Amino acid sequence: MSLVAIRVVAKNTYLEVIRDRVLYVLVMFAVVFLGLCFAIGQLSYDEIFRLSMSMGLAGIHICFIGLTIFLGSAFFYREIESKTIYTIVVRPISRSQYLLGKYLGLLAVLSVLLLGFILAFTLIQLLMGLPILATTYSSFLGVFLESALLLTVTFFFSSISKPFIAITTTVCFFLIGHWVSSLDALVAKSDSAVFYVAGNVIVRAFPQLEALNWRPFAIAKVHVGLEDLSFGIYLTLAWSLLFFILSVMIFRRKDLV
Amino acid sequence: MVLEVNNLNKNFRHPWNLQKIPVLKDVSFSVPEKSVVGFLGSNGAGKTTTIKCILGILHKTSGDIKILGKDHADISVRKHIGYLPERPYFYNYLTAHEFLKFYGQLSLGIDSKNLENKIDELLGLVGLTHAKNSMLKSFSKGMLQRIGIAQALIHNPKLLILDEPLSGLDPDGRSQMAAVINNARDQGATIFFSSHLLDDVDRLCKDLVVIKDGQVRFCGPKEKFVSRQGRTYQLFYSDQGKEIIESVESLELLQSKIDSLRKQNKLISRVETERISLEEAFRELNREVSL
Ligand SMILES: Nc1ncnc2c1ncn2[C@@H]1O[C@H](COP(=O)(O)OP(=O)(O)OP(=O)(O)O)[C@@H](O)[C@H]1O
Ligand SMILES: [Mg+2]
Repeated sequence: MSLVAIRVVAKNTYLEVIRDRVLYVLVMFAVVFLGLCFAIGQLSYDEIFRLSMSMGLAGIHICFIGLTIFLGSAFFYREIESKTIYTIVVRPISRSQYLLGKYLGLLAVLSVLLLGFILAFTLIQLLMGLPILATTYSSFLGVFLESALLLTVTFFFSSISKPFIAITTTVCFFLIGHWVSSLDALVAKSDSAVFYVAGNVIVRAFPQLEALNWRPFAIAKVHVGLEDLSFGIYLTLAWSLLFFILSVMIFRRKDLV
Repeated sequence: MVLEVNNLNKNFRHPWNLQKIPVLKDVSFSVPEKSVVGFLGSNGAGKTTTIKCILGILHKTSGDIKILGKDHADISVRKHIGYLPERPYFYNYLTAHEFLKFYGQLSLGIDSKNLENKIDELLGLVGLTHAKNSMLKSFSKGMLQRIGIAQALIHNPKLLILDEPLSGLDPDGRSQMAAVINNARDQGATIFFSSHLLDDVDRLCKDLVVIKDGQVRFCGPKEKFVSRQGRTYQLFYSDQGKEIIESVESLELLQSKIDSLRKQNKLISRVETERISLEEAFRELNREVSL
């Protein structure tokens, strides 16, 4: 019964989001942005491959994470403000199952969107006469893992605050998450004990999102190593689980007003 | 008892100074099996809050709530509850059919055999057969209310909790909704519904729970509520061949009036309780408390 309920909620979420016109407006923006990234890559004479790849992949990364954060917080906002949630939580489904169903449904939407992005990316590459390489595509897996992780972070912040604040804090979390790797390097070189301790605390408090940045591999035309791959998956699972459990704990106690 | 609420308290907290705001104060009542009970109270009395606490949408501050003999937090009990929220909003981008299927599957499981038949039957019952494949975003307020009640009935619940099922509907819609409620009762469901449309309450139910400022003021048969609040008695007696009618405000006054008339050897022909309507009884109660 419980698995069924999760599945039903996930499917329903998927349908509801995928049919929403707002989503397509966002995707349009994303595609325009993507085109712009490639266009900038085009401007320089040499190393066209290098530049358009890095710009294009970075564009996809940013767009996709933006969509993730937007969808995650919009779900909470809509579901609670519009009271549809009332008629669902009174059914034989626990709040944690409900949240899991929502998470999986949104993840399914994101997967479809990512596939769309990959398709668009490939097309643009073909149009520009760039080689299509298998090594390029592993970087998309990194983007997907990061998105799965940040979706739970959005859930967490949305369950304790209003959507605008949730979006802002998740964006900060994302930025810090990418910055901690550089901080880690700085901390390792530092002589100051205070900086060492404080720096380490910050480094440990955030996921090292740079570990999921596999774009340099794609640009260098090499495959992501097994070690990097497994660490990335481990990082995603561990942090997602943590934030998901925190969200459930808060959501369970929440008065749905 | 299908529903038992004992000493339910709910405090909200002020958003800034976090001061306690008691909204429900020791609310107790019970709903017997196969009854239709109207939950009456003016705006802000605490009807919606009570219902949300019963359903676990809000967490109660204290108290004890039992549904079908089990604690209300027990998930297994929710298979038997149908709920229509006040002013329902639903998923915009689902069709009426998908919408009912979703709730049916949530409550009954994914491969419930008769779900499709049940969906068609309910759409017919609430008069939405023509809109089976339209998306809910194109629905009017009345149509949403109808699909809402269909959603609440999809799994043949034993207890139906409806928050103002009749508001926002035109007279036709109201009598249709009343027919749907009566139909559910005939099928053996127990119905607990809030309203401030007293005519409809009068039409639909025999029992009442009346709440005022977060406290239950009355719980029992409708007649008793009306007669308790109906204070006017008319005393008919003859005085030197003329029939005189006198209105008396309370039972005690009536007794002393009768005593004095008897002492004067007046012939009392009859005493009538002036039957007041539910609406008057309800207004009377509100007046009484605010004194
Ligand atoms: N989330 C909340 N925070 C603070 N106070 C609240 C909250 N929800 C409701 N209240 C207060 O609780 C009281 C009861 O509200 P409730 O919605 O239960 O009334 P009601 O009887 O359903 O009224 P209506 O007939 O207008 O629907 C009101 O005074 C309301 O202001
Ligand atoms: Mg209400």
